Amino acid sequence: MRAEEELIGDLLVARGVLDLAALDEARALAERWKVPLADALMARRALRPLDYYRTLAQHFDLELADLRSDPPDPTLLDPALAQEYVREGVIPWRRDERGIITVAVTSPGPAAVLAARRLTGQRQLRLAVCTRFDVSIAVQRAFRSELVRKAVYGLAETDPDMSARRVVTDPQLLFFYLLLTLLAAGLAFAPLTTLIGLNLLMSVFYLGNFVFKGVLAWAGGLAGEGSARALETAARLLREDELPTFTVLVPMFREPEVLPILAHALRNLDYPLGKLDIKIVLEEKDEETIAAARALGLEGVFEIMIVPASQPQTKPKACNYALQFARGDYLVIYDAEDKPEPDQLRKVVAAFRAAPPNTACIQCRLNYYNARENWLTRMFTLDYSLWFDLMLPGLERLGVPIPLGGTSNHFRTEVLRELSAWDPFNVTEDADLGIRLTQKGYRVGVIDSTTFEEANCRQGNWIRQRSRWIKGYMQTFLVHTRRPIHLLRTVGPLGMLGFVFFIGGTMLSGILNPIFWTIFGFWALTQTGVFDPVFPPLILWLSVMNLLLGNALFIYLTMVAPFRRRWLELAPWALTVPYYWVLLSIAAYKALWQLIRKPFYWEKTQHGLSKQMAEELAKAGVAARP
Amino acid sequence: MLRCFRLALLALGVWLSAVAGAAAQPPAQASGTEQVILRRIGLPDLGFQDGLVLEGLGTSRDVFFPVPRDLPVLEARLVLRAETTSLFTGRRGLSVLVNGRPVLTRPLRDGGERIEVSIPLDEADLARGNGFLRVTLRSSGALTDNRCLDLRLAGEQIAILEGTHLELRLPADAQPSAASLLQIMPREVVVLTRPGPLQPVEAAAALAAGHALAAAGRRVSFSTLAAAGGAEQRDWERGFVLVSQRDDGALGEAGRLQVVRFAGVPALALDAGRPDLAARLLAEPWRPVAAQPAQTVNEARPRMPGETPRGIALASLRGDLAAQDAAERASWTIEFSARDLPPGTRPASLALDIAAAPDTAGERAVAAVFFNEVLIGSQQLGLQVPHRMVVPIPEGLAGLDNRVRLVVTRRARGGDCETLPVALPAQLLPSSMLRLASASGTPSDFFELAPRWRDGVTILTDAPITAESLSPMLALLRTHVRPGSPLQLRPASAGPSPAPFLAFTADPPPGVRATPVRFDRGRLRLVDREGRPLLELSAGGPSLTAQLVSTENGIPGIWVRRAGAAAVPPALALDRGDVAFADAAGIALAFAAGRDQLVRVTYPDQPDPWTLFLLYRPWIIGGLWLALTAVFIGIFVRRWRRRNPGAGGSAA
Repeated sequence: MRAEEELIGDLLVARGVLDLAALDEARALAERWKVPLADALMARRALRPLDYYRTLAQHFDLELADLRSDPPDPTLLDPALAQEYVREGVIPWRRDERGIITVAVTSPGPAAVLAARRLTGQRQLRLAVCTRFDVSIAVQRAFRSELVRKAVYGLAETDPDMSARRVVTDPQLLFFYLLLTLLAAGLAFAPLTTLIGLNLLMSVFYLGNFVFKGVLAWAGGLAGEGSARALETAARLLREDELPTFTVLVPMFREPEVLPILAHALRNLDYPLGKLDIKIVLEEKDEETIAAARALGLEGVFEIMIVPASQPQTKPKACNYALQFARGDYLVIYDAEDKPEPDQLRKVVAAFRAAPPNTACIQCRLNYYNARENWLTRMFTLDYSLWFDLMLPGLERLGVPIPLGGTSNHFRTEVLRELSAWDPFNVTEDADLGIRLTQKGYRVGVIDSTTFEEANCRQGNWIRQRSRWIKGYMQTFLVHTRRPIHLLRTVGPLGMLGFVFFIGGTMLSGILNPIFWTIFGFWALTQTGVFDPVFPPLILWLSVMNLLLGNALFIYLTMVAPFRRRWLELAPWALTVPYYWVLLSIAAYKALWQLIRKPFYWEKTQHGLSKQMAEELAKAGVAARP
Repeated sequence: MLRCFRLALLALGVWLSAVAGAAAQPPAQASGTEQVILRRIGLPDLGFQDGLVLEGLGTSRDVFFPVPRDLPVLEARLVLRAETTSLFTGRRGLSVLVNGRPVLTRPLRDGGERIEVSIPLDEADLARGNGFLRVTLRSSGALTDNRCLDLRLAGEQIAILEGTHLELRLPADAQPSAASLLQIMPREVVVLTRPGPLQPVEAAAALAAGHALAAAGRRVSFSTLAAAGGAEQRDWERGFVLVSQRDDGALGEAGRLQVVRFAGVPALALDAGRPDLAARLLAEPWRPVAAQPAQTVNEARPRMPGETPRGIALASLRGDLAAQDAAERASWTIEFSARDLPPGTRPASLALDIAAAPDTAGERAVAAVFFNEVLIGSQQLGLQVPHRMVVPIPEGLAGLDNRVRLVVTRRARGGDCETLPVALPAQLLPSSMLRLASASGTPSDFFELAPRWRDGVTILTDAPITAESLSPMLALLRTHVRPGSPLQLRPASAGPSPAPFLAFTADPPPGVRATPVRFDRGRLRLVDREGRPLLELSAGGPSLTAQLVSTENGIPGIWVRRAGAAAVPPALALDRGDVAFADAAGIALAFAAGRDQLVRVTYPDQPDPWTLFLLYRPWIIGGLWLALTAVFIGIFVRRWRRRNPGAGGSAA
């Protein structure tokens, strides 16, 4: 620890701001974590940040700058240096009558002076002390429109071909038009041949879908337990002082009640709190959640960021905004109701260090803590178990681009900034980013660490959520098929196949299922022969195989999905999965409609509906809301 | 001495002549005052429509002419007409035997010749046959010294022409039994009824009689007594059956069958209270029972010999199961109709018991089974005889008339013409069965109704029944109903039929709501899958339309609609499908309206929305495509304007 920090610590105790025990603890933590004393003190809520910085100012006999009431002179600020101001903790404040610039710093010292001179271009400067949050807020206020613009249009301006800002491009429109023209001509002049051709296409697609997902699950099942144990050991061996700063983004909207759960979970992480850069990202108009977050009195490592109101109002835009203030080498997004396993961040760091250098993201598994609440939560759990425990490892094993899943995606921050992070116009920004990472030459790794969250327990809410996911998949599919040759070159044939069947298959099967099930049901009830011409023998047998073997395969996979977690009691519920598919089809049609009418609309999923929520809130030390 | 010898010879010759003359006394000669009718029984009467052919040398055929024993034949002659063909020079001859007695032997010329011979027959010839005159036709000859070669040479044949016949002169007042009359009745038979509307039992009797006679190979027509005239015929070329319902006192609920005289020839009369019962006696197997000139019938129902719940013995179906000597090949053909099946059944499999001796080298024969000329199974037969071969009959193969053919083949030993091929016996045993399975509840093809009529059929009509209206009914009865099955005629006004029916009405039968083809919607047009017209008929429809229908209670039937007095073919074999259009030549088109996707029925004068759509499909789709194109153009224009706001359009 620096001698100055020692003195500051003694000063804090002398002034009665901090007791000696707390100081000793903070000093020990700072030593262990190899972080400044201030960070250790903020992590322990030992004192208010303002008290610390006031003492700091007194120690250095500098003015304490209140940048909220006395904001910096905008003429002194350069938008291009906004991130540096935040990163260095240095911001030009005001100029006196002699033209000397006073620079507000968070940590006075030689480094701050050098940074101040570099950022202002002046040699003669005066220093003042301010809080770290004040620097962040000052930058946000001064460069509000620039920051918002970058958050919204960053990707669209730097890489327009990868942005869903345009739902379909002109060539795509033309392609659709030509396809429809071909279809119309076929129906007009050779209707039966055309219908047979369509039927054959869809049947082959179904077959490919079944085969591909079966192969995925098989490949995923081959992933051994050995690698998981090795990672766990490597994570445990990491010393706290060698752990890097980790930025945690928690975007929220109208869900004040569940924040305590995440806060509790983050506090329980086996990771130095002082090395966490936690940003609670809230929308400017969400006053209720803002008030609730402030009322929680969170530690100094929690920063509440207010995203200015702008369109589209989506989670990826909020994350893009917050990314501009991220200080960590790695970054992760958690939802407010998430409960990551305590050693997750350590495992991620260990995984990054063991992974090839082009690994830009580590995806952890997701599952639910209210799995047994009702039928829907059980099905949701089976769904996620199949996806994360079997298919995701299969995708990794086969080298197929991985569409990232919602939360617990851990990134290298620099790569995120390089790729302009998330697409705010895509409602499944995570899936899109996963494909984009692969196209840019990066890879996504998967590790065996689970984040538990709340499964949707109401069908209406579930349909809204799933329709957003499917709409996002549609957007992702449209974006990444704009340049099919480029996609093929960047992800390879297997990757292309995987992309088509995974992204395309998920959305298309939801749309096609009702058509085929209706045909089958009508035939079974009436024994009509009206469909016979469209099902010549080859297609009939293919369709029967899809109906029987394909669906049986999916039911079987759903049944074995929870085996890895030893949740055998969930397996029999897999037999009811056909109704789950009905809900999925409803969501698919809703998604298609929204893609046409409101492509960027974010269908908000309501959280906190679960009966288990009260239990989780109680664990988090807050009484549940009735 | 020599003189005495000559006298003795003369006496002997006279005596011999007397004896021979006495022995060869012809049938009773017609005196100049006695009326005589001439009956010519030709090969077509026996089923040989085109005569018959003796192929090769050393061939023999037997033909049986019916000559009932109670028939008083005055004179009989066998008239033989034949044509020979030969390619090679050789020695060949034709022999004719009558009931085993040679009556003709003559050499045949090389190259070919035409033969016409009239052979007188005597009483002894007729009496020996026990009701039949067996005429054996035999060809023989030699071309080379190699008998094997001779047997295999082609190009040798003797065609016995259809003009070959047996002439019988009978007294005009002859009164044989009904059974005998039926045996010798000419091919052309007219069923006569009284003029005007017929009572149901009269119509049923006329139909049953016509049906039984048609099943026996007669050409039947219907007429009235007045129209027939009754002019006496000396050449008995037409037979008559007279039908009338009369109150004959104590015979009110019975039918009477008797031989009468009409138009100068013996005729059959069916009368009393229930002439339809009497008519049933004309059907096999009851026909031989009518062994008297008159018979009263209280009941007669058809029976199916050889039938068990599991199947029907092949021996009771139409075919010859006799043993054959097969050097290379033997074949048996058994025919059966759907009307031979018990109600509610369908052919499921064949259980064939085959006996075929292995050849001298111990090699086994091979049996192949054909069903309606489709190979459905083959097996190598075992060394032990008999061999049971069970062959399933694929669904969809059986129809109205079916044919089972068994072919047993073996590799012939010999053939080098040093040794004759050895023919070894083979036989399809009488224990062979046609196994049956349950048929589905609702018939989807015409032929599936035939078994349901095995025990009787209800015929619905909506007009008074006359002799003229009986022909269409017979056309269907003879193909779908077993002779002798009870017929019940019922007016359509009596309501829905309680049993499977045949309806001959202008409107749909009572209780039937939906029919595949309608006649109340103007013109009828058949189109193919692409909508191209195949057949268009005027508002009246085709001359004859048959449709498979069901009443609301699920009773199936065939509805036959006839346009006016359109001509009807003699037989109407409705097999597959549920709609058939026919004319005087037969069935023009038959299809399954529900199942067949190749043909569709439309009504151009009253098209339904779906038909209109199909008709104008290219235009409708073209219009939609134009609208779609306009939408896409609008989208492109809007996007272009958004990108170029200064270029004449406002930004979106």
